[in-house]
Amino acid sequence: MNMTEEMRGEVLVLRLAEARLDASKAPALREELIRRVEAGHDRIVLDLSATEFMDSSGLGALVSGLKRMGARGTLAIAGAQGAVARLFQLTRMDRVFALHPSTDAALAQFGV
Amino acid sequence: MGALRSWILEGGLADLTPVALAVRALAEPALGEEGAGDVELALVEAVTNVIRHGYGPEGGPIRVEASVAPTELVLRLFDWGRPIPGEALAAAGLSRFDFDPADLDALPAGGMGLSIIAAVMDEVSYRSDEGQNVLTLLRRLRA
Repeated sequence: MNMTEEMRGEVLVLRLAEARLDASKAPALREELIRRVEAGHDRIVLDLSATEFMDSSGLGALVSGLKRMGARGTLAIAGAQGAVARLFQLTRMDRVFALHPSTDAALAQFGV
Repeated sequence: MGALRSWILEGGLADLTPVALAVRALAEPALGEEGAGDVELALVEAVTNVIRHGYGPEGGPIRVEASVAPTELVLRLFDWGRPIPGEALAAAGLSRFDFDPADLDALPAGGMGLSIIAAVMDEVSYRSDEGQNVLTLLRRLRA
């Protein structure tokens, strides 16, 4: 799983550096997200701007991270575009995740 | 019937990306970028289901055929694993996406593949006969 991370204020920004998020990568992403949530991060921005393709297993990894976080936290998605944005719409997960055009826009919502 | 292209996947998920990209490239002139992305997604969901549920860890071959005719694009997947259970097929048409977005516990984290396929393709049919399973996915081309 190629991913970089940085703290911006109290928000953890994860940038996925995978062009394709499918079933060969989804379990690792799920573990990474859950590990961060269990370490106490409850405000996370996941930047998907480098990702061109995502399937339901990738989406399921995000849902698993969100469930682990529970209602107390926020997992925001930044930079979803093209087929990735379409998957959120097709599955109506755009009603579940806060989707932002960029990491900076997501951070602004957090007041960072 | 347009030209038929076919591939055999024997290496599980590791083989899938090149085939997905080839099918996407085949679909794009006829369906445009979004439509080609839909077809690619349907293929990936279908192949992943066969690898995960049809074959399991021991794996097995999957044959993918793709053809583009003037009015339709057709994908066929052949496999020789466990067939899709009837109840899973019946439930595919019912949307998995009718969940309450505010109810975290009820959100689906899996089992979305068949519903996604049903959402992006115009016709889906499935036949299991003498150990061979054939999933046929059709997307009409709109002039």
